[in-house]
Amino acid sequence: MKFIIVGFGNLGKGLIKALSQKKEFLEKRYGLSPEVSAVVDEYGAVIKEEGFSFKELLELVEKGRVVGGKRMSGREVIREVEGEVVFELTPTNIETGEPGLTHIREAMLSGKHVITSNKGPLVVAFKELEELSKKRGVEFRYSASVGGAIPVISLAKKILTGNKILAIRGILNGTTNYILTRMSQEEVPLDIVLREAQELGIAEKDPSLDLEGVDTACKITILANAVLGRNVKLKDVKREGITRITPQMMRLAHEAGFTIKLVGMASEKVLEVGPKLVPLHHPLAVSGTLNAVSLELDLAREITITGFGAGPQETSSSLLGDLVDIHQTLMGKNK
Amino acid sequence: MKALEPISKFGGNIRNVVHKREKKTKLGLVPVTVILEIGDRGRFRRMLSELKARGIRITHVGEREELRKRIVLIGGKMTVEDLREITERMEGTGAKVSDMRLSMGEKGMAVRLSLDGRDERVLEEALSLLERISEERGLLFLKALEEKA
Repeated sequence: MKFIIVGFGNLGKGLIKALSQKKEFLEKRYGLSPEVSAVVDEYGAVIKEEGFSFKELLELVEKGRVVGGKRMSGREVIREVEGEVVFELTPTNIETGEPGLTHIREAMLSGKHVITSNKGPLVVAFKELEELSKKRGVEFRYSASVGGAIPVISLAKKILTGNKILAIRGILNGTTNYILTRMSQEEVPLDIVLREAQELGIAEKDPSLDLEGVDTACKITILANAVLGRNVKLKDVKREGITRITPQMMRLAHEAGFTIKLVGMASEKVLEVGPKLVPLHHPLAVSGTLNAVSLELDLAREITITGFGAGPQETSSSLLGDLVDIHQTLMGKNK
Repeated sequence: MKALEPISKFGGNIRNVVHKREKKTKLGLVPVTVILEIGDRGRFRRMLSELKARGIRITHVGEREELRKRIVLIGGKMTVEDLREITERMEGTGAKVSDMRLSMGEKGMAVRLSLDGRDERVLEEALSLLERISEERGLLFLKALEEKA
Protein backbone atom coordinates (compact mmCIF):
# COMPACT_ATOMS: atom_id res chain seq x y z
CA MET A 1 0.00 0.00 0.00
CA LYS A 2 1.55 3.26 -1.14
CA PHE A 3 1.11 6.56 0.63
CA ILE A 4 2.06 10.19 0.78
CA ILE A 5 2.97 11.96 4.01
CA VAL A 6 2.09 15.65 4.04
CA GLY A 7 3.55 17.40 7.09
CA PHE A 8 6.91 16.38 8.45
CA GLY A 9 6.85 17.66 12.01
CA ASN A 10 6.94 15.48 15.11
CA LEU A 11 3.92 13.46 14.02
CA GLY A 12 5.21 12.81 10.49
CA LYS A 13 8.56 11.71 11.89
CA GLY A 14 6.85 9.62 14.57
CA LEU A 15 4.76 7.92 11.88
CA ILE A 16 7.84 7.02 9.83
CA LYS A 17 9.55 5.58 12.91
CA ALA A 18 6.44 3.57 13.80
CA LEU A 19 6.06 2.29 10.21
CA SER A 20 9.69 1.28 10.12
CA GLN A 21 9.35 -0.49 13.47
CA LYS A 22 6.07 -2.20 12.55
CA LYS A 23 6.75 -3.00 8.88
CA GLU A 24 7.11 -6.75 9.33
CA PHE A 25 4.27 -6.92 11.83
CA LEU A 26 1.92 -5.16 9.39
CA GLU A 27 2.95 -7.48 6.56
CA LYS A 28 2.64 -10.65 8.59
CA ARG A 29 -0.51 -9.83 10.49
CA TYR A 30 -2.52 -7.90 7.91
CA GLY A 31 -0.76 -8.45 4.58
CA LEU A 32 -0.14 -4.72 4.45
CA SER A 33 3.17 -3.62 2.92
CA PRO A 34 3.66 0.06 3.68
CA GLU A 35 5.43 2.09 1.01
CA VAL A 36 5.98 5.83 1.16
CA SER A 37 6.10 7.51 -2.24
CA ALA A 38 6.40 11.15 -1.10
CA VAL A 39 7.11 13.25 1.96
CA VAL A 40 6.23 16.93 1.93
CA ASP A 41 6.97 19.77 4.31
CA GLU A 42 7.13 23.55 4.00
CA TYR A 43 10.61 23.33 2.38
CA GLY A 44 9.56 21.06 -0.45
CA ALA A 45 8.90 17.45 -1.37
CA VAL A 46 10.93 14.29 -1.83
CA ILE A 47 9.30 11.88 -4.22
CA LYS A 48 10.05 8.30 -5.25
CA GLU A 49 7.17 6.76 -7.11
CA GLU A 50 8.47 3.21 -6.56
CA GLY A 51 8.62 3.87 -2.80
CA PHE A 52 11.43 4.90 -0.44
CA SER A 53 13.30 2.32 1.58
CA PHE A 54 12.86 2.72 5.32
CA LYS A 55 16.61 3.37 5.56
CA GLU A 56 16.12 6.42 3.32
CA LEU A 57 13.10 7.53 5.32
CA LEU A 58 14.90 7.22 8.66
CA GLU A 59 17.79 9.26 7.24
CA LEU A 60 15.25 11.91 6.37
CA VAL A 61 13.98 11.81 9.96
CA GLU A 62 17.56 12.28 11.16
CA LYS A 63 17.95 15.37 8.94
CA GLY A 64 14.83 16.78 10.55
CA ARG A 65 13.29 18.23 7.39
CA VAL A 66 12.92 17.63 3.69
CA VAL A 67 16.32 18.40 2.12
CA GLY A 68 17.15 18.64 -1.57
CA GLY A 69 13.59 18.01 -2.62
CA LYS A 70 11.45 19.55 -5.35
CA ARG A 71 9.76 22.89 -4.86
CA MET A 72 6.29 21.45 -4.88
CA SER A 73 3.38 22.24 -2.59
CA GLY A 74 1.45 19.60 -0.69
CA ARG A 75 -1.49 20.11 -3.01
CA GLU A 76 0.63 19.53 -6.14
CA VAL A 77 2.22 16.40 -4.68
CA ILE A 78 -1.16 14.98 -3.68
CA ARG A 79 -2.52 15.63 -7.17
CA GLU A 80 0.47 14.40 -9.16
CA VAL A 81 2.18 11.65 -7.18
CA GLU A 82 0.94 8.10 -7.09
CA GLY A 83 -0.36 6.89 -3.73
CA GLU A 84 -3.44 5.26 -2.29
CA VAL A 85 -3.48 7.03 1.06
CA VAL A 86 -2.58 10.56 2.11
CA PHE A 87 -1.50 11.18 5.69
CA GLU A 88 -2.39 14.81 6.37
CA LEU A 89 -0.26 15.81 9.38
CA THR A 90 0.30 19.55 8.94
CA PRO A 91 -0.13 21.97 11.89
CA THR A 92 -3.65 22.81 13.04
CA ASN A 93 -5.32 26.08 12.12
CA ILE A 94 -8.73 26.21 13.77
CA GLU A 95 -9.77 29.45 12.01
CA THR A 96 -9.39 28.39 8.38
CA GLY A 97 -8.47 24.70 8.61
CA GLU A 98 -5.62 25.42 6.16
CA PRO A 99 -3.44 24.08 4.70
CA GLY A 100 -4.92 20.77 5.85
CA LEU A 101 -8.36 21.44 4.46
CA THR A 102 -7.04 22.01 0.92
CA HIS A 103 -4.85 18.91 1.18
CA ILE A 104 -7.75 16.71 2.27
CA ARG A 105 -10.08 18.06 -0.40
CA GLU A 106 -7.42 17.56 -3.07
CA ALA A 107 -6.70 14.02 -1.90
CA MET A 108 -10.36 13.07 -2.00
CA LEU A 109 -10.86 14.67 -5.40
CA SER A 110 -7.85 12.68 -6.67
CA GLY A 111 -9.45 9.47 -5.39
CA LYS A 112 -7.01 9.02 -2.48
CA HIS A 113 -7.99 7.85 0.98
CA VAL A 114 -7.19 10.25 3.83
CA ILE A 115 -5.89 9.78 7.36
CA THR A 116 -5.40 12.89 9.45
CA SER A 117 -4.51 14.01 12.95
CA ASN A 118 -5.29 17.61 12.05
CA LYS A 119 -8.17 19.10 14.05
CA GLY A 120 -8.40 22.26 11.90
CA PRO A 121 -10.12 20.80 8.81
CA LEU A 122 -12.40 18.68 11.01
CA VAL A 123 -13.52 21.64 13.08
CA VAL A 124 -14.04 23.88 10.06
CA ALA A 125 -15.58 21.47 7.54
CA PHE A 126 -16.42 18.09 9.06
CA LYS A 127 -19.70 17.52 7.23
CA GLU A 128 -18.33 18.72 3.92
CA LEU A 129 -15.36 16.33 4.15
CA GLU A 130 -17.50 13.39 5.25
CA GLU A 131 -19.83 13.98 2.31
CA LEU A 132 -16.99 14.50 -0.15
CA SER A 133 -15.33 11.24 0.92
CA LYS A 134 -18.59 9.35 0.38
CA LYS A 135 -19.19 11.04 -2.96
CA ARG A 136 -15.70 10.19 -4.19
CA GLY A 137 -15.81 6.67 -2.73
CA VAL A 138 -12.72 7.15 -0.58
CA GLU A 139 -12.10 6.33 3.07
CA PHE A 140 -11.61 9.11 5.61
CA ARG A 141 -10.17 8.47 9.08
CA TYR A 142 -9.27 10.93 11.85
CA SER A 143 -8.79 8.84 15.04
CA ALA A 144 -5.57 10.68 15.90
CA SER A 145 -7.33 14.06 16.04
CA VAL A 146 -8.90 13.32 19.45
CA GLY A 147 -7.26 11.67 22.42
CA GLY A 148 -3.89 10.79 20.82
CA ALA A 149 -3.47 7.11 21.57
CA ILE A 150 -7.00 6.65 22.95
CA PRO A 151 -9.12 4.98 20.29
CA VAL A 152 -12.29 6.81 21.26
CA ILE A 153 -13.60 7.39 17.74
CA SER A 154 -12.95 3.81 16.63
CA LEU A 155 -14.41 2.47 19.86
CA ALA A 156 -17.57 4.45 19.36
CA LYS A 157 -17.95 3.88 15.62
CA LYS A 158 -16.59 0.37 15.18
CA ILE A 159 -16.88 -1.55 18.44
CA LEU A 160 -19.92 -0.23 20.29
CA THR A 161 -22.09 -0.39 17.21
CA GLY A 162 -25.01 -2.05 18.99
CA ASN A 163 -25.32 0.89 21.36
CA LYS A 164 -26.79 4.33 21.04
CA ILE A 165 -24.25 6.80 22.38
CA LEU A 166 -26.10 9.21 24.62
CA ALA A 167 -23.28 11.40 25.87
CA ILE A 168 -19.53 11.88 25.89
CA ARG A 169 -17.48 13.39 28.68
CA GLY A 170 -13.75 13.65 28.61
CA ILE A 171 -10.47 14.99 29.86
CA LEU A 172 -9.11 15.76 26.43
CA ASN A 173 -6.14 18.03 27.02
CA GLY A 174 -2.99 16.71 28.66
CA THR A 175 -1.46 20.13 29.30
CA THR A 176 -4.35 21.47 31.36
CA ASN A 177 -4.72 18.15 33.14
CA TYR A 178 -1.06 18.26 34.11
CA ILE A 179 -1.43 21.84 35.38
CA LEU A 180 -4.58 21.06 37.38
CA THR A 181 -3.01 17.90 38.83
CA ARG A 182 0.05 19.84 40.00
CA MET A 183 -2.10 22.66 41.39
CA SER A 184 -4.11 20.09 43.30
CA GLN A 185 -1.00 18.36 44.67
CA GLU A 186 1.00 21.47 45.58
CA GLU A 187 -1.70 24.11 46.07
CA VAL A 188 0.33 26.62 44.06
CA PRO A 189 -0.93 29.22 41.56
CA LEU A 190 -1.46 28.35 37.92
CA ASP A 191 1.34 30.61 36.60
CA ILE A 192 3.99 28.76 38.63
CA VAL A 193 2.81 25.33 37.48
CA LEU A 194 2.55 26.64 33.92
CA ARG A 195 6.24 27.66 33.96
CA GLU A 196 7.13 24.18 35.21
CA ALA A 197 5.03 22.61 32.44
CA GLN A 198 6.74 24.81 29.83
CA GLU A 199 10.18 23.80 31.12
CA LEU A 200 9.19 20.15 30.83
CA GLY A 201 7.91 20.69 27.29
CA ILE A 202 4.35 19.78 28.34
CA ALA A 203 2.98 23.27 27.67
CA GLU A 204 3.58 25.39 24.55
CA LYS A 205 5.30 28.78 24.68
CA ASP A 206 1.89 30.25 23.93
CA PRO A 207 -0.41 27.95 25.92
CA SER A 208 -3.56 30.03 25.45
CA LEU A 209 -5.39 27.51 23.23
CA ASP A 210 -4.95 24.87 25.92
CA LEU A 211 -5.60 27.03 28.98
CA GLU A 212 -8.66 28.72 27.54
CA GLY A 213 -10.22 25.38 26.65
CA VAL A 214 -10.10 25.94 22.88
CA ASP A 215 -8.23 22.71 22.18
CA THR A 216 -10.72 20.72 24.26
CA ALA A 217 -13.58 22.54 22.52
CA CYS A 218 -12.17 21.50 19.12
CA LYS A 219 -12.06 17.88 20.23
CA ILE A 220 -15.55 17.92 21.68
CA THR A 221 -16.80 19.47 18.41
CA ILE A 222 -15.20 16.62 16.45
CA LEU A 223 -16.66 14.01 18.80
CA ALA A 224 -20.12 15.57 18.68
CA ASN A 225 -20.06 15.48 14.88
CA ALA A 226 -18.31 12.15 14.35
CA VAL A 227 -19.77 10.09 17.17
CA LEU A 228 -23.10 11.69 18.06
CA GLY A 229 -23.97 12.62 14.48
CA ARG A 230 -24.56 16.26 15.34
CA ASN A 231 -23.78 19.12 12.99
CA VAL A 232 -22.00 21.64 15.19
CA LYS A 233 -19.19 24.15 14.89
CA LEU A 234 -16.55 25.27 17.35
CA LYS A 235 -18.47 28.48 18.04
CA ASP A 236 -21.42 26.41 19.33
CA VAL A 237 -19.38 25.11 22.28
CA LYS A 238 -19.99 26.91 25.58
CA ARG A 239 -16.44 27.35 26.83
CA GLU A 240 -14.57 28.29 29.99
CA GLY A 241 -10.87 27.55 30.48
CA ILE A 242 -8.82 27.00 33.61
CA THR A 243 -7.19 30.42 33.96
CA ARG A 244 -9.48 31.45 36.82
CA ILE A 245 -8.82 28.35 38.93
CA THR A 246 -6.96 29.23 42.13
CA PRO A 247 -5.16 27.16 44.78
CA GLN A 248 -7.93 28.16 47.20
CA MET A 249 -10.56 26.59 44.95
CA MET A 250 -8.44 23.46 44.66
CA ARG A 251 -8.18 23.20 48.43
CA LEU A 252 -11.91 23.66 49.01
CA ALA A 253 -12.67 21.06 46.34
CA HIS A 254 -10.22 18.59 47.84
CA GLU A 255 -11.62 18.95 51.35
CA ALA A 256 -15.02 17.90 50.01
CA GLY A 257 -13.67 14.84 48.17
CA PHE A 258 -13.36 16.41 44.71
CA THR A 259 -10.69 17.53 42.33
CA ILE A 260 -11.04 20.12 39.56
CA LYS A 261 -10.73 18.96 35.95
CA LEU A 262 -11.30 20.60 32.59
CA VAL A 263 -14.13 18.49 31.17
CA GLY A 264 -15.51 18.49 27.64
CA MET A 265 -19.11 17.32 27.40
CA ALA A 266 -21.35 16.55 24.43
CA SER A 267 -24.81 15.07 24.20
CA GLU A 268 -27.90 15.84 22.15
CA LYS A 269 -28.53 18.95 24.24
CA VAL A 270 -25.14 19.78 25.78
CA LEU A 271 -21.98 21.07 24.13
CA GLU A 272 -19.70 22.46 26.74
CA VAL A 273 -16.12 22.74 28.00
CA GLY A 274 -15.36 23.95 31.48
CA PRO A 275 -13.79 23.19 34.82
CA LYS A 276 -15.88 20.78 36.91
CA LEU A 277 -15.72 19.27 40.35
CA VAL A 278 -14.86 15.63 39.75
CA PRO A 279 -15.11 13.14 42.64
CA LEU A 280 -11.63 11.88 43.56
CA HIS A 281 -12.62 8.25 42.88
CA HIS A 282 -14.31 9.03 39.53
CA PRO A 283 -12.88 7.30 36.42
CA LEU A 284 -12.30 10.72 34.84
CA ALA A 285 -10.13 11.84 37.78
CA VAL A 286 -6.94 10.92 35.90
CA SER A 287 -3.62 12.53 36.77
CA GLY A 288 -0.79 14.22 34.91
CA THR A 289 -0.93 14.37 31.13
CA LEU A 290 -3.35 11.47 30.84
CA ASN A 291 -6.58 11.81 28.90
CA ALA A 292 -9.80 9.93 29.65
CA VAL A 293 -13.10 9.67 27.84
CA SER A 294 -16.39 8.28 29.15
CA LEU A 295 -19.15 7.23 26.80
CA GLU A 296 -22.66 6.96 28.15
CA LEU A 297 -24.50 4.21 26.29
CA ASP A 298 -28.00 2.80 26.29
CA LEU A 299 -26.95 -0.87 26.62
CA ALA A 300 -23.44 -0.91 28.03
CA ARG A 301 -24.27 2.04 30.36
CA GLU A 302 -20.83 3.62 30.73
CA ILE A 303 -17.40 2.87 29.29
CA THR A 304 -14.32 4.90 30.14
CA ILE A 305 -10.97 4.67 28.41
CA THR A 306 -7.77 6.27 29.57
CA GLY A 307 -4.42 6.83 27.89
CA PHE A 308 -1.86 9.30 26.63
CA GLY A 309 -3.44 12.03 24.60
CA ALA A 310 -0.39 13.39 22.82
CA GLY A 311 3.14 12.62 21.67
CA PRO A 312 4.45 11.35 18.32
CA GLN A 313 4.69 7.69 19.32
CA GLU A 314 1.29 7.61 21.02
CA THR A 315 -0.39 9.40 18.11
CA SER A 316 1.22 7.05 15.59
CA SER A 317 -0.71 4.26 17.32
CA SER A 318 -3.94 5.85 16.12
CA LEU A 319 -2.53 6.67 12.66
CA LEU A 320 -1.45 3.06 12.13
CA GLY A 321 -4.80 1.86 13.47
CA ASP A 322 -6.54 3.96 10.83
CA LEU A 323 -4.22 2.66 8.13
CA VAL A 324 -4.94 -0.96 9.01
CA ASP A 325 -8.65 -0.16 9.21
CA ILE A 326 -8.65 1.33 5.70
CA HIS A 327 -6.65 -1.61 4.39
CA GLN A 328 -9.10 -4.09 5.87
CA THR A 329 -12.11 -2.10 4.67
CA LEU A 330 -10.70 -2.15 1.13
CA MET A 331 -9.92 -5.86 1.36
CA GLY A 332 -13.51 -6.46 2.45
CA LYS A 333 -14.85 -4.42 -0.47
CA ASN A 334 -12.66 -6.29 -2.96
CA LYS A 335 -13.74 -9.75 -1.80
CA MET B 1 -25.36 -13.82 49.32
CA LYS B 2 -27.76 -13.79 46.36
CA ALA B 3 -29.27 -10.59 47.76
CA LEU B 4 -26.01 -8.78 48.34
CA GLU B 5 -24.88 -8.71 44.74
CA PRO B 6 -27.70 -6.53 43.31
CA ILE B 7 -27.40 -4.20 46.30
CA SER B 8 -23.71 -3.64 45.69
CA LYS B 9 -24.19 -3.55 41.89
CA PHE B 10 -26.47 -0.50 42.19
CA GLY B 11 -24.24 1.23 44.72
CA GLY B 12 -26.31 0.43 47.82
CA ASN B 13 -24.67 0.82 51.18
CA ILE B 14 -25.97 -1.71 53.74
CA ARG B 15 -26.49 -0.20 57.19
CA ASN B 16 -28.06 -3.13 58.98
CA VAL B 17 -29.23 -6.72 58.40
CA VAL B 18 -31.57 -8.49 60.84
CA HIS B 19 -32.42 -12.18 60.47
CA LYS B 20 -35.83 -12.83 62.11
CA ARG B 21 -35.25 -16.48 62.90
CA GLU B 22 -38.05 -16.51 65.46
CA LYS B 23 -40.52 -15.56 62.71
CA LYS B 24 -39.83 -18.40 60.27
CA THR B 25 -42.47 -18.81 57.57
CA LYS B 26 -44.55 -21.96 57.11
CA LEU B 27 -42.10 -23.02 54.42
CA GLY B 28 -39.25 -22.68 56.91
CA LEU B 29 -37.80 -19.53 55.34
CA VAL B 30 -36.18 -16.87 57.54
CA PRO B 31 -37.43 -13.30 56.94
CA VAL B 32 -34.63 -10.77 56.72
CA THR B 33 -34.85 -7.00 57.15
CA VAL B 34 -32.17 -5.04 55.28
CA ILE B 35 -31.65 -1.33 55.89
CA LEU B 36 -29.64 0.31 53.18
CA GLU B 37 -28.81 3.65 51.58
CA ILE B 38 -28.95 4.10 47.82
CA GLY B 39 -28.29 7.07 45.56
CA ASP B 40 -31.60 7.61 43.83
CA ARG B 41 -35.02 6.14 43.21
CA GLY B 42 -34.15 4.82 39.74
CA ARG B 43 -31.36 2.68 41.14
CA PHE B 44 -33.60 1.61 43.99
CA ARG B 45 -36.25 0.38 41.55
CA ARG B 46 -33.69 -1.41 39.38
CA MET B 47 -32.21 -3.07 42.46
CA LEU B 48 -35.66 -4.29 43.55
CA SER B 49 -36.33 -5.74 40.09
CA GLU B 50 -33.03 -7.58 40.11
CA LEU B 51 -33.64 -8.98 43.59
CA LYS B 52 -37.05 -10.25 42.48
CA ALA B 53 -35.53 -11.73 39.33
CA ARG B 54 -33.16 -13.71 41.54
CA GLY B 55 -36.11 -15.28 43.34
CA ILE B 56 -35.91 -13.17 46.46
CA ARG B 57 -39.39 -12.43 47.77
CA ILE B 58 -39.77 -8.85 48.97
CA THR B 59 -42.69 -8.58 51.37
CA HIS B 60 -42.37 -4.97 52.49
CA VAL B 61 -40.58 -1.90 51.24
CA GLY B 62 -40.33 1.17 53.41
CA GLU B 63 -38.56 4.26 52.13
CA ARG B 64 -37.25 7.29 53.89
CA GLU B 65 -36.04 9.83 51.47
CA GLU B 66 -32.94 11.73 52.47
CA LEU B 67 -32.41 15.32 51.42
CA ARG B 68 -30.53 15.63 48.15
CA LYS B 69 -27.20 17.42 48.34
CA ARG B 70 -25.03 19.28 45.89
CA ILE B 71 -21.63 20.87 46.27
CA VAL B 72 -20.60 23.88 44.20
CA LEU B 73 -17.64 26.25 44.12
CA ILE B 74 -17.70 29.92 43.28
CA GLY B 75 -14.57 31.98 42.76
CA GLY B 76 -13.68 35.59 42.06
CA LYS B 77 -14.05 39.07 43.48
CA MET B 78 -16.98 39.13 45.88
CA THR B 79 -17.89 40.52 49.28
CA VAL B 80 -19.58 39.03 52.33
CA GLU B 81 -22.62 41.09 51.34
CA ASP B 82 -22.68 39.26 47.96
CA LEU B 83 -22.63 35.93 49.77
CA ARG B 84 -25.52 36.92 51.99
CA GLU B 85 -27.55 37.89 48.96
CA ILE B 86 -26.68 34.63 47.19
CA THR B 87 -27.79 32.62 50.25
CA GLU B 88 -31.07 34.49 50.47
CA ARG B 89 -31.84 34.04 46.79
CA MET B 90 -31.04 30.32 47.11
CA GLU B 91 -33.62 29.96 49.82
CA GLY B 92 -36.21 31.47 47.49
CA THR B 93 -35.88 28.33 45.32
CA GLY B 94 -36.61 25.98 48.22
CA ALA B 95 -32.98 24.87 48.48
CA LYS B 96 -30.98 25.56 51.61
CA VAL B 97 -27.31 26.42 52.00
CA SER B 98 -26.34 23.90 54.68
CA ASP B 99 -22.63 24.61 54.71
CA MET B 100 -20.35 27.37 53.48
CA ARG B 101 -16.55 27.42 53.45
CA LEU B 102 -14.51 30.43 52.41
CA SER B 103 -10.91 30.88 51.42
CA MET B 104 -9.22 34.14 50.49
CA GLY B 105 -6.44 34.53 47.95
CA GLU B 106 -4.76 37.09 45.69
CA LYS B 107 -7.39 36.63 42.98
CA GLY B 108 -10.33 37.06 45.33
CA MET B 109 -12.44 34.68 47.29
CA ALA B 110 -13.23 31.00 46.80
CA VAL B 111 -16.47 29.74 48.30
CA ARG B 112 -17.71 26.19 48.65
CA LEU B 113 -21.45 25.81 49.18
CA SER B 114 -23.36 22.70 50.18
CA LEU B 115 -26.94 22.88 48.98
CA ASP B 116 -29.76 20.75 50.34
CA GLY B 117 -33.05 20.26 48.56
CA ARG B 118 -35.99 17.95 48.94
CA ASP B 119 -35.78 16.78 45.32
CA GLU B 120 -33.76 17.08 42.12
CA ARG B 121 -36.02 19.74 40.65
CA VAL B 122 -35.46 22.12 43.56
CA LEU B 123 -31.71 21.60 43.37
CA GLU B 124 -31.58 22.06 39.60
CA GLU B 125 -33.47 25.33 39.96
CA ALA B 126 -31.08 26.48 42.67
CA LEU B 127 -28.03 25.55 40.59
CA SER B 128 -29.38 27.38 37.53
CA LEU B 129 -29.98 30.47 39.64
CA LEU B 130 -26.47 30.28 41.12
CA GLU B 131 -25.00 29.91 37.65
CA ARG B 132 -26.95 32.97 36.47
CA ILE B 133 -25.88 35.06 39.45
CA SER B 134 -22.25 34.02 38.93
CA GLU B 135 -22.42 34.97 35.25
CA GLU B 136 -23.98 38.35 36.06
CA ARG B 137 -21.16 39.13 38.49
CA GLY B 138 -18.31 37.70 36.45
CA LEU B 139 -17.69 34.92 38.96
CA LEU B 140 -16.46 31.43 38.12
CA PHE B 141 -19.05 28.79 38.96
CA LEU B 142 -18.14 25.11 39.24
CA LYS B 143 -20.67 22.29 39.50
CA ALA B 144 -19.90 18.71 40.35
CA LEU B 145 -19.82 16.27 37.49
CA GLU B 146 -23.18 14.57 37.46
CA GLU B 147 -23.65 10.85 37.34
CA LYS B 148 -25.06 11.20 33.84
CA ALA B 149 -24.10 13.87 31.35
